[in-house]
Amino acid sequence: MIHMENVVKRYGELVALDHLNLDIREGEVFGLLGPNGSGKTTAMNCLLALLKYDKGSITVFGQEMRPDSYELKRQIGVVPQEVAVFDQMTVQENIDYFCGLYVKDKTRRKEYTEEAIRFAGLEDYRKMLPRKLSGGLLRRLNIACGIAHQPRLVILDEPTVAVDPQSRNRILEGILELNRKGSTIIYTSHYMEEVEQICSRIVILDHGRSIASGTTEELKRMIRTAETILIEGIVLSPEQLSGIQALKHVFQVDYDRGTLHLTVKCTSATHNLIRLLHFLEEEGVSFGQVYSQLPTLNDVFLEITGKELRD
Amino acid sequence: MTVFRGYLMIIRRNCALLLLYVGIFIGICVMAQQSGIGTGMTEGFAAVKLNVAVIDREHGVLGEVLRAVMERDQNLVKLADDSQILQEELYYRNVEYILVIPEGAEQRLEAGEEAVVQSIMAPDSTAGYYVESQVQLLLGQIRTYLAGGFALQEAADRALALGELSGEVTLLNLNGTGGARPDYNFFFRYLPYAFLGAVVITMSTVIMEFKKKAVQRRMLSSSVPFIRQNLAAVASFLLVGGVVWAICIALQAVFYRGGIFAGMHTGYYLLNSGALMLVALSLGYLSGMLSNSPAGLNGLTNVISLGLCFLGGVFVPLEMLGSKMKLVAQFLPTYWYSRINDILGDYGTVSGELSAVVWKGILIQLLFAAACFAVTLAVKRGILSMRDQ
Repeated sequence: MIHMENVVKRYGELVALDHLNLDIREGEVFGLLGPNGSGKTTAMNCLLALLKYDKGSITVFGQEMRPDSYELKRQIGVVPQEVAVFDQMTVQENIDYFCGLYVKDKTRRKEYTEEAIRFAGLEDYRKMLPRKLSGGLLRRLNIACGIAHQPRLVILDEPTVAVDPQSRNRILEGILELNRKGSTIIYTSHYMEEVEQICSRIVILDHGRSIASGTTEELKRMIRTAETILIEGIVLSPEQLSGIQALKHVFQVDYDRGTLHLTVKCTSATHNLIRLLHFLEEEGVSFGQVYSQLPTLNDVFLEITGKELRD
Repeated sequence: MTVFRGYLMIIRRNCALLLLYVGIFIGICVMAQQSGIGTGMTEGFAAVKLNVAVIDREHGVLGEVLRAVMERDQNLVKLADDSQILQEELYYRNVEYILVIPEGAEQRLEAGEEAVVQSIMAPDSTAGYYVESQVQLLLGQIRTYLAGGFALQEAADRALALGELSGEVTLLNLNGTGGARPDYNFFFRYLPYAFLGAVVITMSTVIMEFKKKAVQRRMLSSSVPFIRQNLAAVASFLLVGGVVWAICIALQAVFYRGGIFAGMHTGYYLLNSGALMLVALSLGYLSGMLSNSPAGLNGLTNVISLGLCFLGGVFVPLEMLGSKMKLVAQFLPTYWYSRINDILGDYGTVSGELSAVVWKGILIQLLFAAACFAVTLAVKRGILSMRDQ
C-alpha cells in the first residue's frame, strides 16, 4: 500500500532520513517508534509530499506521491503532532471544515461530521470553542478533524503527547476501532507501551535509519534479553555477585550499592528466576521485593543502540 | 468553497470588531463635523477685544489719535496715572496693555525718532504684542504722511482713516459650492483611518488563524490545491472589503443627503475609496503574515494605520507637511488618496493636468496594493520553505 525506498532527507549537514525503507500493508496498524528527533515526523512529511526529499521514491496506493497528488491525498487523513484547529471555530465547525476539505457533498459531510463527533466523544462540547477544552479533549478534537472524512489511510503523529491516561486510552481504543472499520493506520510515537499495545507491525527508527522491524514478538526475539529479574533491598558481596554472574543463562548483572537494587538479565530459558532464588537461599542472602519482567521495546532499542528510547 | 467558507466563518467571529471600528469612526466623524458647522470652527478665527489703557501725559493730537484707535479696536479702560495702580491692574490682568504717551512724544515723532511712546504689557501676554504692533503700524503710517509733507493733524487723521478701510472678498466658485468643500469631502478625508484601522486589524487577525503551522500542515495535506486555498483567501477578503466599502458609501449618502451621488465626481470618489480599500486589504494580508502574536499584530497594525494617516495627510492637511515630509509621503498610498480627495473637493471639473494627477494617484494606490500582495505571497513562500528546513 505504501512503499518508501531509500529515502534520504538532509537539512544541511544533518541527515534526517538515511536511506529509509518502509513497506506498509493495507489494513495494518503500523507503528513508527523512535526517540525524539529520530526522523518519524520527517518521514511522515515526506510521505505526504509536504517535504522535498533528496533521494529515493515514495508510492502510495501504487502511485507516486507528489505535492499535487490531490486524489491520493483525498484518501489520507492526517493527525499532526500539534493540535491543528481554528481557535475561532467551535468543535463542530472545526470538524465540519476539515471534513469539507475532502467531502464536497453537504449531506454526506454532515453525516461524517456527526459520526466523528460521536467517535471522539465530543457530543457535549460541539458548540464550544477549542480554548475552553481540556488538553485531552483538544487532542480528541484534533483526531476527529483528521479522520472525519473516513480516509483509507490515517497518519497519526504522536497523537497522545501531553494527554491524561483516560483520554489516552480512549484515543488508543478509537484508533483500533478505525482500523477495524477498514482504515490502515500509521502511528508514530516515542511511547513504546502504546506502540506495543496497538501496532501489528513496528519499525524502530534511530538517526533517520530503520534499525529493526517486525511484530512486537519478532522484535523481542531479536535481542538476547528474554527476562529481566529485579530484586530490591538486597546486600551482596563481590563473591556473591560473581556467583550470580556465573549462573546459567545470565548474561548481565547490575548491582546498585546505593539503592540496593539488583538487576539480572537472562537469555531465553526456563526457570531463570528459580535458579537465582535458589542460589540466594544457599548463600543465605535476605532480600525485599522480586520482579520478573519480559523484554519491552525499550529493551530492544537499548540493546541495539545502547541508549534508552526516551534519552 | 470550503476554504472560502472557513475564512468567512472566522471573519464573522471578528465582525463585531470590524463594525465597531467603522461605527466609531463614522460617529465621531459626523459628530465632529456637525458640531463644527456654524460655530466659527469652519469660518476661521473669531475677533476678540482686549482691555487696554492709554495714559496721555501730553494731551496732544497724537494722544487723541491713539486713544481713538484703541477705542475703536479694543476695550479702553480708564486708569489714573499712578504707577502703583498701573502695576496692580496689570498684575491682576484687568488690563493687558497700557500705552503711555509721554510729554514731547509729538516732537520726537516729527523729528523721526523711533521711541515715541512707551508700552507696558501684562506678563507673558501674547495678545499684548498684537496691540503693540497695531500701535507701531499707526505710528509708521503717521511718519509716512509726515514725510510726505502733511501736517501732524492731517497725517494723524489720514492714518486713522486708513484703519477703517475695508473691502469685499468673493471666493471664486471653482467647484460649484461657492468656494467651500462639500460636506461629504470631509467624510472621505478621514475614511482611510476607518479602512486602515478596521480592515487591517480584522483581516490580519483572520490570516493569523490560517497561518498557524499545524493548521497549514493540515491544509497542505488536504485535497484542496494550494492555489485554490490562496484564491479563497483573496476572494473572502475582497468580499469583506467590498461590503465594508459599500456600507461606508451608503452611510455617507444617508448622512449627506445623497453625498457623492448628489454631487460631482461620483466615479472618482468611488474609484479613489475603492483603491484605498484594496490597499487596506493588502496591508491586512501582509501584517497578518508578518505577525507572530496578537500583541505584535496590534502594534504593527497601529503603526501602519496611524503612520499612513499622519504621513499621508489624513489627520494633518498636506499643505502643513514639510517639504521633506512630503517627499517621503509621496511613496505612500494615503498621500495620493488625500491629494485626490483635495482635488475633488476643490474643483468642479477635473480635466487636463488635474485628471492626470487623479488617475496617477489611483494607479499608485493600486500598484501599492499589488506590491503588498506580491510581498505577502513571497513572505508566505518564505515561511513555508523555512519550515521545510
